[in-house]
Amino acid sequence: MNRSWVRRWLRKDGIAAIPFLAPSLAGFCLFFAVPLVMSVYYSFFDQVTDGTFVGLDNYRELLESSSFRKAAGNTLLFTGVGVPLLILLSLGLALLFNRQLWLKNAMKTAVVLPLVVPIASIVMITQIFIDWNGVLNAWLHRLDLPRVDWLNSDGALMIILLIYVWKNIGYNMILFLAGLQTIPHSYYETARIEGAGSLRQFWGITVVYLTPTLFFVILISLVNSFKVFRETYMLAGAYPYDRLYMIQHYMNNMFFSLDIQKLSAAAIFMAGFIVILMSGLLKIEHRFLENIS
Amino acid sequence: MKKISMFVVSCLLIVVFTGCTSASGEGGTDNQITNSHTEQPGASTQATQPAAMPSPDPNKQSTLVFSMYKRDSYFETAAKAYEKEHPNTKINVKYIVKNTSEDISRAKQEKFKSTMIADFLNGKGPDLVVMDALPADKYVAKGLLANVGDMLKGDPSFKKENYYMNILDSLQTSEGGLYMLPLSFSLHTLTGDQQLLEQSGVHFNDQSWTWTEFLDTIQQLTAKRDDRYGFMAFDENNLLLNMARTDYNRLVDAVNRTAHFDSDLFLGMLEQIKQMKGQTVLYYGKELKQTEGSKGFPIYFGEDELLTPYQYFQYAANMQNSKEHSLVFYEKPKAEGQQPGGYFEPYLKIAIHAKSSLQPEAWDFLKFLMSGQASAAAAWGANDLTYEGQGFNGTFPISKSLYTAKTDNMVQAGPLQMLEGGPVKITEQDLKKLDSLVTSANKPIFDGEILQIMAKESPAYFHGQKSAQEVAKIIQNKVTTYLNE
Repeated sequence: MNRSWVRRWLRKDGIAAIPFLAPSLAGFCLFFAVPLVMSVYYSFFDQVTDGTFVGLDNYRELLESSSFRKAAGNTLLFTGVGVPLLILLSLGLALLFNRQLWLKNAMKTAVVLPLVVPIASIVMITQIFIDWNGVLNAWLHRLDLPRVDWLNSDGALMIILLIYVWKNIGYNMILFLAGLQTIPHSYYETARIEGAGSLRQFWGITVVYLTPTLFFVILISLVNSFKVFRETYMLAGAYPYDRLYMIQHYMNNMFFSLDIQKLSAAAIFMAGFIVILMSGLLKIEHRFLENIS
Repeated sequence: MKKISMFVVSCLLIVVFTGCTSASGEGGTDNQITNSHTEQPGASTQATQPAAMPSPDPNKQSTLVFSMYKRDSYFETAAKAYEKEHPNTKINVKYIVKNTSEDISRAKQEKFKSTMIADFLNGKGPDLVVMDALPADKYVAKGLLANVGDMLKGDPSFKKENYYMNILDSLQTSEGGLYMLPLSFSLHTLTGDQQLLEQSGVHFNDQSWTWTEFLDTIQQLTAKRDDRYGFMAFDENNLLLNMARTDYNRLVDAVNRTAHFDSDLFLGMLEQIKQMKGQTVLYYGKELKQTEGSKGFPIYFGEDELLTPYQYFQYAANMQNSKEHSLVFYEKPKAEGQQPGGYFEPYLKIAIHAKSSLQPEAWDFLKFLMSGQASAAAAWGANDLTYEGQGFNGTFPISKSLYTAKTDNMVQAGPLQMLEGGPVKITEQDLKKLDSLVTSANKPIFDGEILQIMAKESPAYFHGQKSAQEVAKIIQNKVTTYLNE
């Protein structure tokens, strides 16, 4: 009885999948699952070794820190503005390149090119551009406007937004183009015969059939919006202007203050927030797809 | 079902990606998992027991790990000498760079910082470490460094009278702990032309003056003779750092986590420095206004950091060469009501890991390093005047006996060959003057993130790019962020 159950289980496909999954599973555990569990553990203790359990003290301290609240607010603001902006612009570009266009391939290449530019070069070019004696200020000066120390002004967020959009627009555009190509031409033809205008076609066909792609692009854009810290850090250092002080700055500085507890608490906080955000997004997508079918 | 698993995977994906941005932080925690169980229990209790450091077991085989950012040849000679005396102890000297010129981008220094943090946090740190490139206050706050002050007090074989206790005592924390022992130090002083100052008839007391009083004094001096400058400083930023250090407690309230860089006090500092530029204060590398009437040295005060005793003897030699001008060392201005005494900057600050299982051995070796026995053969000389060039052997040692032995050697060897000019005989009086400078030093020069933020932003004001208010606002803003993390 028992034996036959084992035999049946062994004959199943699931067991065959395990050796194929093992390498990525091992990597996943080593680089993600175990550190995450450890971070959760550290966030409840007062020391890394021989610590005592302090409950939610680290989280309370974290929320009491006005710098953390500032960092969280800035990150939210950046993501809240950056992601919709990036998606609108890349969708626009994808629609543009989805039709016949003069020099289409050359322009496509130009948009995608930033993907392969190393961060160090991006930072250097940006520095030359926005420095006190840089290109941007030279233009302002020629227009008889006062010079601006971009990284120490509220315009700093614009600079980082610009880098983020410029760097990611190509990738998102490719994803959207792929999505657009899966929509059968016959749908549009039918709609045209039925007398639908181009706006009606866009909302009724393009947007509807692009929605799965859209959710994936939102996800990727969110991920990338957290990655812009590297550029910010290299441009403005560990203590940038108020507006640029992101949650990753906070975590990085906590590491150099040897405060692993607060660092872990902040990381868990952020991970929790992302999980909530994503589950919300996926629920909406789920409902949307149900509506369509 | 498929949806749910997709969801979980995508969430995980996001966290993994964002986790990459703080890779250094996560890497640190990653290591801790594997090592947290291997460290020895009870090792940490040794640090908390004052006055009872057991002497190392001579029959135990042990290897001390001694880490540092920059190599100092003294450590290698000392380690060899110590190993010869204690055949059962091996010293593993680990350094990152031989010379700071190897690491202009400071990338290796950053790496050293993060490696040390990861090592210390999982209890696997070195037994001894040179803290010069590390944020020592953070390590102390986390209880990672042993209180070497207690070891020192509890060890009857440590002869206090052989060391400059004025230096060691002033490095204690407010709770009375001492977590680092500097092997050497430099002296920050003012130099002044005594003869000129006496002739001017302006009175001052360098034992107690504040920066305001000092700047008033030089203004009075230059008002009398406009062909002379009052003060030659390193540069504007350094002058600001000096002033901010003395008034640090009025600028930064660490307990209440507030900064006062937008106050009139700080704005006043900025404006005063700019206003005096070119009028009464001059900076190195700028041209002097030599008019016909002035002769020789047209400056009343200068500032100097004596990095090596040899640098002092050079001054002494110059004084002997020029009969008209007599150079005297004055104390730098300090905060109001502060005790008299000069400023010093500790170097080669060595700490012992609080969780090291070899604390008795580490302390014994540290004691050996401090005594400077292995350096006695190396003479003070004209090879290189910089701290960077000479390392420990050329600098002011914390050991009084080593200092005396080296000066005796030098005096006995006859007149000193100077970089410029002929050989000069060092007199007893010269040595006494230097002695009093060294023994009266009791104010450590400190640094930190806040002063670095200030020093990074203020040049924009001195170069005329921004107003004092704008610069003060940015500093205030960043320092507030730092204090409230």
